[in-house]
Amino acid sequence: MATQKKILILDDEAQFLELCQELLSTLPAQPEVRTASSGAHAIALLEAEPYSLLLTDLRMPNMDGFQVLAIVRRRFPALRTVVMSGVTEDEYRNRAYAMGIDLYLEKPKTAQDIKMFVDCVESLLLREETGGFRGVQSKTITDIVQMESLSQSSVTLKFTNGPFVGKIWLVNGDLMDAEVGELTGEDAFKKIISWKSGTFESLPGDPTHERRIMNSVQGLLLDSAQMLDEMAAGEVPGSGGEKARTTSPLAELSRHPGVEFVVTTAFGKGKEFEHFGCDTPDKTAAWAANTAERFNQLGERIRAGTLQWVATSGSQRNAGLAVKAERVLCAGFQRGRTSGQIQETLKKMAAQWAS
Amino acid sequence: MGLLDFFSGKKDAPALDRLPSGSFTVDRDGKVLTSTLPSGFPEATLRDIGRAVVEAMVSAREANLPVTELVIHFSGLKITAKEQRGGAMIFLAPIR
Repeated sequence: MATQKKILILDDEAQFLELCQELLSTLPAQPEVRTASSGAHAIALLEAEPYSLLLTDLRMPNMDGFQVLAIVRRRFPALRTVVMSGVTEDEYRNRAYAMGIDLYLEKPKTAQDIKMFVDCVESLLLREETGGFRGVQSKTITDIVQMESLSQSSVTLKFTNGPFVGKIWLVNGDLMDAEVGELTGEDAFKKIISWKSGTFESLPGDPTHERRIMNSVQGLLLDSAQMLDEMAAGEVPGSGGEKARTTSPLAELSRHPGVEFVVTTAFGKGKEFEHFGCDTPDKTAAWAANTAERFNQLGERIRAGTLQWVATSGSQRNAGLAVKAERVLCAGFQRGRTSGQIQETLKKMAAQWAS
Repeated sequence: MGLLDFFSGKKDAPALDRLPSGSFTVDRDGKVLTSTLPSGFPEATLRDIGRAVVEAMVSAREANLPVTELVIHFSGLKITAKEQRGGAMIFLAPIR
């Protein structure tokens, strides 16, 4: 039996909370709707039990919506968030989306707006249940590729998974090529097929694109499914059941271009850490933990949003920090790397680290 | 229309702060020396940013990671700081 969904609504107006609670309680998913009139109360409720969705206003006394969202992103990264506000300026809308919200709704003014608001919330609750790719909910990449192939489409499928972008080219339903990062052809196809979620776009077909995949769609999908099953069972794909050797996840992270060392730790003093290739891991972990916490607190105080990354350049070495739910990833980079290159590499490392 | 009036916005709600855009310099103690930010922008916030940046640079030096440039990226604001004889020149740019 499916568990009952829980929605938390945060607004400083009691009557508005009451109305929203009444409206959302009637949704077909029959969610339990709780309310909070201050940011601190909302955070306390979120800490006490898991919620499916948080709806928050922006303009509130003491702790505004941006501060609440910054805390929520850090402590409850999987929670779906919706901003519902009377603030209409694009600046604030963009800032809220940059903080990773799922939806920005203006407070409804007409009966039609109210219906749309209720429908949007219902759709978000269902999305949580089914998973899949934004754009085609509840469908896996295998489903999407099969569908396009069976309908003999000429189309370029673009999938985005965190910082990674993959493309699959189909012409008249035939698989022509795939590409992700430096991988092309079948290797790229298998890599893309292993993604579980992300966003999906269907772009116009490109009949002139070079064919690098000679296998049939069905054959490759079967191969990929077998490979994923073997990997899930901890085996080396194609080895007939040989168990995979476990490599340190940090060693894997250090394979990104230009990376000299990797240290992971938690906010605070950085006394507990893991590292790969670092000469002074204790000092580096302490600096990373302290710096990440310092700037995270600064971001909350000046309402600049969630701390995403920090990059340093120096005469001896460059370094970068990425933060995920009060955990810090610190990477040392070879000299000469620009902050843009550090940012790009950090993004990829952080996505790999989080998974 | 009573119900819809509730949705039409708040009368006494506090205004949201705009994120700052501009630059300023701080000395090695985090004291603000010069600034191109609007005069209405709270100096306490500048001091807060300046102190955090200078402290991060000092602690980086102590961890054998001497820093000449520091970029801090928040979801709504990018801070770029360049080391200047113990102090720093700091650039603030909201992310659009």
